[in-house]
Amino acid sequence: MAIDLISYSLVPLFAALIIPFIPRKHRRITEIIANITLLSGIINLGYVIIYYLVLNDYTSYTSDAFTTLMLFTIYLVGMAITFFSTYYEVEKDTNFSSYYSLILVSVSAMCSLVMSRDFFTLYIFMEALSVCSFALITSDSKTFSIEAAIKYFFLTFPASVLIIFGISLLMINYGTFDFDTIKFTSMNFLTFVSLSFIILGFLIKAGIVPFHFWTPDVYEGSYSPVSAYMAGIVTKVGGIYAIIKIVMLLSSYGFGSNLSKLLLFTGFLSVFVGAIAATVQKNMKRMLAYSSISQMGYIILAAATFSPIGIIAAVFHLINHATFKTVLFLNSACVEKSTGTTNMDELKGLEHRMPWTSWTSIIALFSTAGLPPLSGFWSKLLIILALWQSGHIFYAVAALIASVFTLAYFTIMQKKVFFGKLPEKFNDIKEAKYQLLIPVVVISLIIIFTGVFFNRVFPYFERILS
Amino acid sequence: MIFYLLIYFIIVVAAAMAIMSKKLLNSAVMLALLSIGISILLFAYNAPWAAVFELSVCAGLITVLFISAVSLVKNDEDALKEKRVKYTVFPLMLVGFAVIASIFVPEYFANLFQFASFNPSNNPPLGDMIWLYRGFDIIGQITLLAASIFVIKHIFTKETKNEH
Amino acid sequence: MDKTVLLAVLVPVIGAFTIPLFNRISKDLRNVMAVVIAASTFIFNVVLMQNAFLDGIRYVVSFPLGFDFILKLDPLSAFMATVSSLISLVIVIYSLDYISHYENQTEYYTMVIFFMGSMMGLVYSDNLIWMYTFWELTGFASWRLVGFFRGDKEIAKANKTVLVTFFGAVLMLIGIIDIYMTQGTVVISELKAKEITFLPATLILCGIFSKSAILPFSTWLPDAGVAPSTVTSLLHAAVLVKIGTFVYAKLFGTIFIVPESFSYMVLIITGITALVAGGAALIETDMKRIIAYSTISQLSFIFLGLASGSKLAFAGALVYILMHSIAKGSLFLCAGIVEQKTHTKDITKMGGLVKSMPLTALAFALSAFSVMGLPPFGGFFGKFFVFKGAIETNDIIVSILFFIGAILTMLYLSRLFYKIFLGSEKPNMPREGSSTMVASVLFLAFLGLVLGILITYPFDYASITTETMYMMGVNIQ
Repeated sequence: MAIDLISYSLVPLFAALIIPFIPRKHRRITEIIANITLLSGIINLGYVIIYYLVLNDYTSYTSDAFTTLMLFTIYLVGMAITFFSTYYEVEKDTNFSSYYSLILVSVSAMCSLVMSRDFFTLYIFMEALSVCSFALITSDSKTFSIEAAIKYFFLTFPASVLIIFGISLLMINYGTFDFDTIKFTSMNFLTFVSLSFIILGFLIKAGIVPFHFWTPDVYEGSYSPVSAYMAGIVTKVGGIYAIIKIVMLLSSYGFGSNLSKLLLFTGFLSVFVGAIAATVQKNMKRMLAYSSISQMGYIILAAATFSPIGIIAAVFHLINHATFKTVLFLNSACVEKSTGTTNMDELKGLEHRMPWTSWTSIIALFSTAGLPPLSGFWSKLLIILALWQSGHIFYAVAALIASVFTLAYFTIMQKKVFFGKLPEKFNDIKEAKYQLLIPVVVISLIIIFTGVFFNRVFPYFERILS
Repeated sequence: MIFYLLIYFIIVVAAAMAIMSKKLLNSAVMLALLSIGISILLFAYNAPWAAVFELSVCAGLITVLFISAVSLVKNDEDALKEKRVKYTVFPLMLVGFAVIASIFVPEYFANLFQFASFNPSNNPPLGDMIWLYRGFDIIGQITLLAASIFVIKHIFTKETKNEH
Repeated sequence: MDKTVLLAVLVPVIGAFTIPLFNRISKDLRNVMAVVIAASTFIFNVVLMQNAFLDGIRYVVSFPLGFDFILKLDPLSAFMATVSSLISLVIVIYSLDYISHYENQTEYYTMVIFFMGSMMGLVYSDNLIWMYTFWELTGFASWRLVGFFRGDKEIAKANKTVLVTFFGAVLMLIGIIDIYMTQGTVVISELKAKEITFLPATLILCGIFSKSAILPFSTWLPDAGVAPSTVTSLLHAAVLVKIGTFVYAKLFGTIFIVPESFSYMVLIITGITALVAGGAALIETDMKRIIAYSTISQLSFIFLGLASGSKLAFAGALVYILMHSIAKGSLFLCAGIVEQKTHTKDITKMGGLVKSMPLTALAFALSAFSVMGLPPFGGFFGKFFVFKGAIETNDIIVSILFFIGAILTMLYLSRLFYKIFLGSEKPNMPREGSSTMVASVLFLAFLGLVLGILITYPFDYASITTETMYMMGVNIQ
């Protein structure tokens, strides 16, 4: 347990607990508290990271630098969502105090999750996160969101059962849950079974093919900022992060050729199924959901190589994808607010009415497809290099060909939504409010800068993940 | 031996009653009883850590949550007639399962004993255990409690609003 | 000098993004700044060309894993950059009047300048990964530009453009990574005189062919004719398709040692392309599509020169790159004038325009002569040396393919000229184009003539470039 970083999870928790004590009519105070908490966290973390990035002096910080990076990503996405939600629907009268509390509690749970150093603590906070996201999905008052929440429940909670089952089997074998004390010196049957269960559970939670069936419905049906939140960070911290952690543990012991093959195949399936399914979607959010499945596949492909560069690539792509999907989902939320629909067949030519939304979506989508020199290109290149170096040339080539599909469905989206002539009915559309655009623009700038200044970013990653 | 049998009996009956009872409140109380029974069992089997957590979490935390949730749900169970299988089917199934289990399961558990790694003399005192070794679990529990409270508040308050 | 190379790349790339800012102040300022940026890039390139034969001018920013951002000056790059920036400058000046009739002007100027900047980055880049980066960026700019008119059909064609070229580029990336893994480096100057096997060469070739619209990747080029005329001119003549030839010349002509079978394969494929494209140009009725097919056909000739294995042909191909860019640019811009004034692209609806648009007709004729390869126009010299090289390969099939291609060139260009300018007059004769537009096309047309007369200068440059850099004669027997 990384104790010195604990305030990052305690402060949001504390803020979440004070919120119910504010009377209902002072809604502004609730929003202010939520935003200020996350903002202060992110400024703090940003300072820490930039300081170490610029000074190039990581020697005293190496053991926790990975955690700090994940904390930064969590706070970034959380901050974007909170700020966005504050201005998204001011007229609504529903129970929004618990909405902010839920976001704060889930941020706190995620922070504690990345800070945990043994499996059991990981599990506890993952459960807290699942429960919070389950409630967040229902934030909209449409029935579709309740259906989405129930689907989420029925598919991911049994996954939690699998995980705890695996963890307990692991405990029986080794007597402890700690990451540092478990030494996988031999792969006997029980360890194998337990690790399989754990990884299976986390794959379900991350929405990887063939366990992805809850993902499109949940992303499409839930409240728009919450979709961004889920896609941006929850499926990552709740799912992929643990798999990367296990890979990091196993790779230092020289195991895992079978596991590697399995994960490679699953990743490969995800990449292709996601990309191909996204091409035929009519609803923007559903298309983004399949795109997320595809990109998660890339992360799994990178992690499955069990090599240092693979792990660096996986983590980098994880952080990058958090930024891309946040921008894209928030853009779709802006479009939905301005035009009232996310059905791409009804949308057309919004580029001039909503220029900021249009251009940030172009940046995000080209970064996802891997256009240099944006950050997505570098992470994809690292993934391909990792795959190639470990000898899986077929998967490397397949992953690159899938980029073409990625670009295909994104240009289709651009054609349908932004890049075209404006029909009559959309003549009164205005750009989303500037406050809604601030998080989107900030994250887009991060995408650009991480890409262009890659030579600074990469050594940082290398040091902290060696 | 009698003691163990008594505890087993309480646990099984409480579990069965929790499922079969018509009122939600009774189910919640039965679950609490079930948890208390399991906790006592764990104490008896020399696993004080598990027992403490079982007690605090299940018998305490979960029961609080269930009772608060149940109280928020409106009491119009007469509106939706629940489809209940005949009252006697479940106990019969239970007995049948118990019989089959008693034939096949003990071997499995005997096999499992070789994985046991408990050492009764090594257990530190209770207070030490909670604060020093598993201090972080306290935060975990508070997080879970907060999460659950807010989940219930979020989902159920909206429902009551919708019904107005 | 090092900084000049950097400036030649950065000024257009960063300058492209300042254009929207200038637009806020005033439209005229924006137009002026666009011309200024284009002109300054051209001037930088001319300066660099003076110093092209000096050694060791580079600008380096180091990146991890050997993907350093290196800009290096060498004769071939300087040549290519100068040609492209000249054509682009003329196009920007032409656009000042042409685009003013349409919407989305700011984005147009931004993307054109950005395109130019990416091209500069590409030719000067000494690292394969950064070459790939700028390659993709030109694809992005062309996506925005082809979709300029924002109609459904235009956007569909734009998507097709970007997808076909992206697909080719991805294959090229696979080839690059293969080279990275086998040779350990992607820095081009370090890869000199290394052997390259058939597979990565073919993969990179796929990328080149997709950008240069050679079969089987050529389908996007005629379709991209839905873009504004200046854009198609830019894409087809000066910048985009020449990227492929440049990369081919650089990588397979001067750096790697390619297997014989590979060069032969290139010759056959481009020969067939020349024929097919020429044939298609002969039966098409859309003016811009005809010129597009003509471009495909002429590019095959350039590849013939580059791949044939003789130094003379290589130099001839370089000269022809210059001549073709100028001539094709002029042809497309003329077509733009005709299209804007007659509001149609269908040549069966045109006729007898020589009376009302004499200057345009003159420019068109001069450029067409250059493309056909008539002396003393510049195109003649280029084609002559390319054919000399083809004959030196002693391969009957290749020579026949290209001769037939040359004849087809004459045929379809004459047909085009006849249908548009000569022949019976139709009602509603349009007036001549505006002075800036006509001035640009006349400038280019006469430039073709002048360069033909003063052929020694470009040809000397090309021969010296070939002498210093050519690798193809080196066999690995």
